Amino acid sequence: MASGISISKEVLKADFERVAQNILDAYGVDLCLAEIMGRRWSYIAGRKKGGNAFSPPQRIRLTGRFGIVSDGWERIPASEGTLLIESLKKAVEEHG
Amino acid sequence: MVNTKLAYTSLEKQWIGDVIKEDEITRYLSAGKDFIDDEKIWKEIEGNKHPEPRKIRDIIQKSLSVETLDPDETAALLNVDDEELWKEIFEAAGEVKRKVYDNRIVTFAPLYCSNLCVNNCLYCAFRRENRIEKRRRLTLDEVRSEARVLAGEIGHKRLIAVYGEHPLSDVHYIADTLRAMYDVTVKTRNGYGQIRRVNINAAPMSIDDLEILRDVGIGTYQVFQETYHHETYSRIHPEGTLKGDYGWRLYAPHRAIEAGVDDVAIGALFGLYDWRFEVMGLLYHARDLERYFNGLGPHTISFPRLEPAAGTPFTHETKYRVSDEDFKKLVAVLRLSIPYAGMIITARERAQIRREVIPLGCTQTDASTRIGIGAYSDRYDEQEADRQQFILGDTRNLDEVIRELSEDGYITSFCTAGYRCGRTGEHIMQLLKCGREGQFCKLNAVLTFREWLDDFASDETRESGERIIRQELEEIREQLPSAYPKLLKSYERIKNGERDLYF
Repeated sequence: MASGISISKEVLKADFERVAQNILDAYGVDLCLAEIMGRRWSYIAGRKKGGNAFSPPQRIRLTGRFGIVSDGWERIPASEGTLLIESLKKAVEEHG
Repeated sequence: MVNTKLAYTSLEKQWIGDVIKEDEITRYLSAGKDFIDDEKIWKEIEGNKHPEPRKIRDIIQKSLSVETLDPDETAALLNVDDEELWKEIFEAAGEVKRKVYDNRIVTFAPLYCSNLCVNNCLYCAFRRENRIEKRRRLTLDEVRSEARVLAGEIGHKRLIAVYGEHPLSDVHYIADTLRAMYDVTVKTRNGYGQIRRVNINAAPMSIDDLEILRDVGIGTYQVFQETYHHETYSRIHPEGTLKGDYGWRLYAPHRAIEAGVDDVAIGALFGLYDWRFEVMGLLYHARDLERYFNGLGPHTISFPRLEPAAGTPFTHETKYRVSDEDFKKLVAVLRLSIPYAGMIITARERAQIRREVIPLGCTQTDASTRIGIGAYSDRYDEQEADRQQFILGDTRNLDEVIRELSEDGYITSFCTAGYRCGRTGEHIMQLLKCGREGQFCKLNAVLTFREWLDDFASDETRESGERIIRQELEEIREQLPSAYPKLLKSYERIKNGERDLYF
């Protein structure tokens, strides 16, 4: 609890790290999970160092409070992207 | 206990009594003590006299690998007495900065919203007992007017909003003013101007209050300790005032991170106590944040020097005034000690000093600076001591400052991308340490500088700015070939009037 993050959010972080790694392995796409506070999208989990690609960041809102930032969302097949967003929405609603 | 000499109103008394939450200090203490051990710091400074050149060069290498120094290492740097070795330190400081942040300088402006204050700090013109100071709190319409001048006429995108500590400028007022600043959009020559990031310089707050600021979307939360020396702190911040509580202030950044504001800024007011001690204090502060929050240290560090202020004799009487020569040393040592942190030099300093100190590792500076309440929209030309916290050393406008930076080989950046796309907290720390953030800085500097040149530059400044842009584009083409085509695409869109595109 040193960082003030609840146990539930720790679960969310761990789950997201796993998902982000799978997406990176499969499609070479970096994802990070962020908490949205006004204009601020604060880092919660995901790749910390980023890959070698440089792209304008794509921000996708999951809920009013959470979103993901990607550097190449278009490389994820559309059907899988839709499923991914749905499952992440569920996860942030449950643990966020 | 509330200071009875300061004749507080009942509203003020009640408010003051509710601000400090003791458990939000004690939770961070180790065996009941904070992380500043005055005696130990002096022993470290005294114990590292006449360091061997080889030791100093090893320390420089550590800094170049973007690792935070140990206190003994910083103390050794502070004790260098060989002028040739100082030259090496100065050079290394610039190299560390370029490695972490490339050659961009971010610009911003302060926006003073209120000078009402319940404190009575001896060095500050806003102190309660200073009858000379004209007190004013901006209305939200006035805040918008200020933001319109800053975003629409000068071209700033990033502000540091400043507030005295008072019930009438509490967290709810601060949150309202932030919303007002973010609300403003102004048509410009070729696009539109907006304030994209508002950082806050305000009093220490509780975690609950900081959560309110977090939810409005603040940029960085900045609290300066002023002096890390306990005894000096107590002497200049009278007992019974809120600011008199050393621990409440020291742990303000810790509380901010706990509240979810993961960009925090620290600083010391140089001239209150021995400058070498203050450098050590800043290092200890950064290290404690890193220890407590999994490597997350301060986003920026400030090192203002005490300046004259109206009705404030203390500013002339201090025996710890920092000379220009020592100022350069402390900036370089800070850069090497906390290599990942942004470093801010402000218009407190004279133009010539700023020009000499920027190459020692500074990453941010302000320009077109006005520090009177309502000073941007009131459009007064001369400084007015009775509505300012202190007297500025450099009142040049942004256009002149940018022209000088361009002539010195720096690209001015208005980038505010990081905090809007998840590059915050431990993420940005990692990116800074591995040099990756510097690459984002380089790309975003070009895009935002293009905006500013098209919207605000004078012909003369535009000419020198274009030279820098051409040079940067060429470097990006060579160093970041995969990014280059995407950058050019965004660059062309900006030239055609689109705004706020970033990597």
